[in-house]
Amino acid sequence: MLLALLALPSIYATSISDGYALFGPADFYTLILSFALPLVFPLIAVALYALPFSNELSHRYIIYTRTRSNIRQYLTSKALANIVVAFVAFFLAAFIPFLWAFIVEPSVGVINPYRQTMVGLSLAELEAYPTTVNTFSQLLSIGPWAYGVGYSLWLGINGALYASIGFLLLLVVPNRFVALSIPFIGYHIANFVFAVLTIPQYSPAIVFPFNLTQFPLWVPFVPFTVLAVLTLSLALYVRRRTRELDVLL
Amino acid sequence: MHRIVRSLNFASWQLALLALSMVYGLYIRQQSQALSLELMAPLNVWDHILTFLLDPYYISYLFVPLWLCSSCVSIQRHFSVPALIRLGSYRSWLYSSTLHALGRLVPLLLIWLVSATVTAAGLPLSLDWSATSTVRNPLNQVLGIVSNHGIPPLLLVALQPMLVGLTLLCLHMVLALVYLLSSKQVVIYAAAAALFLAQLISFRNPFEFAPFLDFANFFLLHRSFSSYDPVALVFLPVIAVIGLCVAAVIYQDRRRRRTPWRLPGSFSALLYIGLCALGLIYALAFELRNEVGTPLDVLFVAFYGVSAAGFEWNLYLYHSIVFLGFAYLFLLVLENELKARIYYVALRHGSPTRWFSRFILPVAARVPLLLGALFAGALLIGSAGGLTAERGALADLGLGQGWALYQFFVNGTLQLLCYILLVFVIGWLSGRPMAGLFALGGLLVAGLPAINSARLLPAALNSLGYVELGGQELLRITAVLSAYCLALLLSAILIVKSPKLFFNERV
Repeated sequence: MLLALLALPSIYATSISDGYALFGPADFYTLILSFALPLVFPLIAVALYALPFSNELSHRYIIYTRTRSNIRQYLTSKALANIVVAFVAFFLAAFIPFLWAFIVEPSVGVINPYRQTMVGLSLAELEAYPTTVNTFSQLLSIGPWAYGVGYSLWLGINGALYASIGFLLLLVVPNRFVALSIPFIGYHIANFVFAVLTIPQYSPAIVFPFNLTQFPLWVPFVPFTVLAVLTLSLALYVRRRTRELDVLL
Repeated sequence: MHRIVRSLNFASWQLALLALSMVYGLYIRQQSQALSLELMAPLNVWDHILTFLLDPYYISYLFVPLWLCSSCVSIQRHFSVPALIRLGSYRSWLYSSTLHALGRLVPLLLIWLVSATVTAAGLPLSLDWSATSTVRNPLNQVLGIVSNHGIPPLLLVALQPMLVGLTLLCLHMVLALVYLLSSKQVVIYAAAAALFLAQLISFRNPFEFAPFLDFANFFLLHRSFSSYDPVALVFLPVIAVIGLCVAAVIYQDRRRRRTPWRLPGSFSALLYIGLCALGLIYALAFELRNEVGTPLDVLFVAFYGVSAAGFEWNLYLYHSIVFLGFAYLFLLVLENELKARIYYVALRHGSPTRWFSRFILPVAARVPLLLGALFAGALLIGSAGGLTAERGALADLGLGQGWALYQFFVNGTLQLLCYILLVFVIGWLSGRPMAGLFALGGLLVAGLPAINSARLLPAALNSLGYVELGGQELLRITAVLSAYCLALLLSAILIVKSPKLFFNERV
């Protein structure tokens, strides 16, 4: 069932691909990924593991657990499981469409043939065109696998980051619903505010840079690093205060 | 009041200050007379009084350090556990400390005014500016500026002590806040020293790029005249800082009583209002770039949302933040009710149905209020931004503005009611507010024109982008939304009526 869910965007994009002017597998890949996933990405990240974990808190399971095992160790293993689950899920969410768009589909030929000409571009320019579409497509100049694996890694790491934020907030914010909704709400607010400030490339939510022009590859890592540092400090706070956290008492 | 009166009995240091001021006043009078000889114009009493009151050296090197020092001592003396217990809260302590400061301020201002008036004795009396003061001359910079704004000198003599007094009180409150937050002697003296240095620097080199950071503007009226127009605006930053101090103290009081880290309801509402305003300003900037537009176009751009042809990412994001954000705020309220205490709440209201009507009706009443406020805000921001073109984007659509307003108000109300009822039904059936959040995520995806091409899903149907489809289509949207609203309302009533569904086991 999980595989079916992961394949759904590819199937949907294939079915609507007739209505779009596509210039190659890179365009098709963008079409698959930029569709609905960017809108609900943090919600899914939180739903994978942090949401079931929140039930442990509300059923007071964890309170009885801490009498039997080391609470810090227990939380660390849960946090690691959360990171692994989110990373794998989002890695696959980007990698399966990549396999479909770049490897399987060209040999099967389900969608209409790609367009071979573009107004205003010579043949050589058209060949270089996919590398100029968005920030991560620069990896295409190394090869399609670099792009596929590279972007899948990026999405996986970001998924793990957002899942961790949700997980850590659960331990800090007394209201579990608010804790789990902060990544989703914050993601959209940050995207909007940074777009209004005309620096969307530095938004901490720039996980899907498909609707922006190309920037140097280091640019997405600036907001990512900021967010990662914030998350790390939150993790350190939780680790240092594990014994006093209100939600675990 | 009696405290102020009691503190008016002069201490010896106040007498010393009076004597010093008198001597300084005589020195200033000599200088004024020298200036009058040079300009070959007569003086009157206001020249001397105002030159004294606007003298930067007297204020910067004597008044301010004296005040800061006595403030530090008084704050430290006042901030004690018995005083805090007696007053009950930080806020009351701040008020009492400020009142005490007022008691110190009045004699200081009186000394200043009296020494200025006494040393002016013998100069000709008049109600108007003298010939010397109105001369524009590099030697006559201070009076040359203030006398050329059409304000009578008597008013200026009243304004200057008011401005200085208010600023000094503000400084006292800032210091009190610093001490309240740090409760360390060294911190408050360091803060006082920093304030003293900042005003000295600002008096020597004006910060023209940021008048609200320029201390001298709040001490010397001739400086405020060149930075603020009308000059009364100079009081605003001072009052704002006082307000911030009070707000910070109130926040401290609340923090003491509550557990930290809790997201207060008012915070999310404030964030929501701020984001709404930000989007309207963004729409205005968008319109200004196009260089044509009417104030109504700001509304059109801001709530464009999606259209049948596609969507622009930021516009859809803003549309979702405003409308789905409202549903999220509702979800925050619902979350509170979903906790186990609903048994008691329903008992208190008599029946679940009565509870439901009392719970949902105020929210439903806020929907038209929100739309009205957004409409007014868009018009206000549009006209403040100077959009006055005759024809705008709306007129180019070939449809009357009536249809756009119909879509905004009628379909907007229905759409918001749909969101609220949907969130209520899903949240209540599952017993978890998170389910409501997933519903909002689903609505966010369902609103995309590629998915909602038939416009049968109740998501983002109130987008003003759909106005270009024509009146017929808008009426169809109204019918679709009404059907959904009715169905959702029926299911909500069914849930509330059925004890099994209403009181299902909560986590």
